[in-house]
Amino acid sequence: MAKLIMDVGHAPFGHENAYAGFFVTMGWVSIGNQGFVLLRGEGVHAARKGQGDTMMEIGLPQTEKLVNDIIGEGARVIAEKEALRARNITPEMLIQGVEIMSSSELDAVVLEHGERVLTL
Amino acid sequence: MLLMRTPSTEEDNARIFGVLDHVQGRDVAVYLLGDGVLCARKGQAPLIGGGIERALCSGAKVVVGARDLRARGVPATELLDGLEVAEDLEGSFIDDAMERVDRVITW
Amino acid sequence: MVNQQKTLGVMIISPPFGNQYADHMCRTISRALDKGYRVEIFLYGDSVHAQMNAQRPKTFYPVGKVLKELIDRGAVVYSCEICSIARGYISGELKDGKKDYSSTKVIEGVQFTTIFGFAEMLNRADKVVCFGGS
Repeated sequence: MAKLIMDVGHAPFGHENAYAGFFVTMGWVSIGNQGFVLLRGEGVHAARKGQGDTMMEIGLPQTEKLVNDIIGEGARVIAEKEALRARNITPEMLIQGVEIMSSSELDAVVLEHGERVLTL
Repeated sequence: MLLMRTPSTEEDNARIFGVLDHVQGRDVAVYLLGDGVLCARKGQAPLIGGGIERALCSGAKVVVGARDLRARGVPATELLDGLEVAEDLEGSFIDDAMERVDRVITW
Repeated sequence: MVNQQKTLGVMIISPPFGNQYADHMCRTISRALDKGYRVEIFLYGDSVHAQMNAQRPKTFYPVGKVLKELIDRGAVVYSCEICSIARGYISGELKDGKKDYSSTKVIEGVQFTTIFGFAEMLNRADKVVCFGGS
């Protein structure tokens, strides 16, 4: 099974990077591939649960729904532990199914599975 | 690794260079292009220059684009020791990326 | 001689002229083509502006002109359909049962595809590089 690492370092929604990365990952896993989304730095905000109706409020896709969708399709979404701690985001505040790993563990994921790496 | 910018924060620095710190002792090549060449100057704070210094110390090949250095007025005397300066950085990167390495990361 | 069957997959997400990423991409792809590799490119987000016809950047790096030259040399350029519709390059509406991608605003040879088409492109690539994302 081919693998893709999507490394997201921007918060939604000031940049399109987070939801763009989720869209690409959805396309990737939907054709039978293995996908990993790494949320690092400000990117961890994309994994917050309880997001409002973003289409109505700001006209942009809700990353909570996208995270749920790609996890449902078999992708792994992993948030960086240090970045969560720095932003006072606790595990309870994350979407169900989002994993947490240290920065060093994420680097190891990149090395093990990074046949294709996209940095957004 | 192809690096086209400088790290903006400590977190960003860890994000970019963490993988390199993991692969010390293995065959690693770092290509600095565009604003990435600014990481190659010596005497800078660890946030800017530390990642490349560590990569060099661990034996990585570090290649810097000559065109981007000239455009930014950075002379060879300002560069960290052990770097290669290349006129055809893109060609060298393609050779490595397509034929020599099993992981390619671009920043 | 290198293996001519190998394919480089390229994704770009930054627009031309506001930064150097499109320039870096074009120069890198040019060297890959010089060395006999197949190259497939995906323009995503604001990078679809690189496909605009009749760019006249005067002294800036001529991204549109170079992109056309890369297509003429064999590079396959895909552009995100939804991003291109959003930015007014194509209508994408059904016409005679097919999506209408005709446009005078787009460089000849640019093809349009979805995220799923991009996923297929990534699958075909031996190596992948990303410009302007991080």
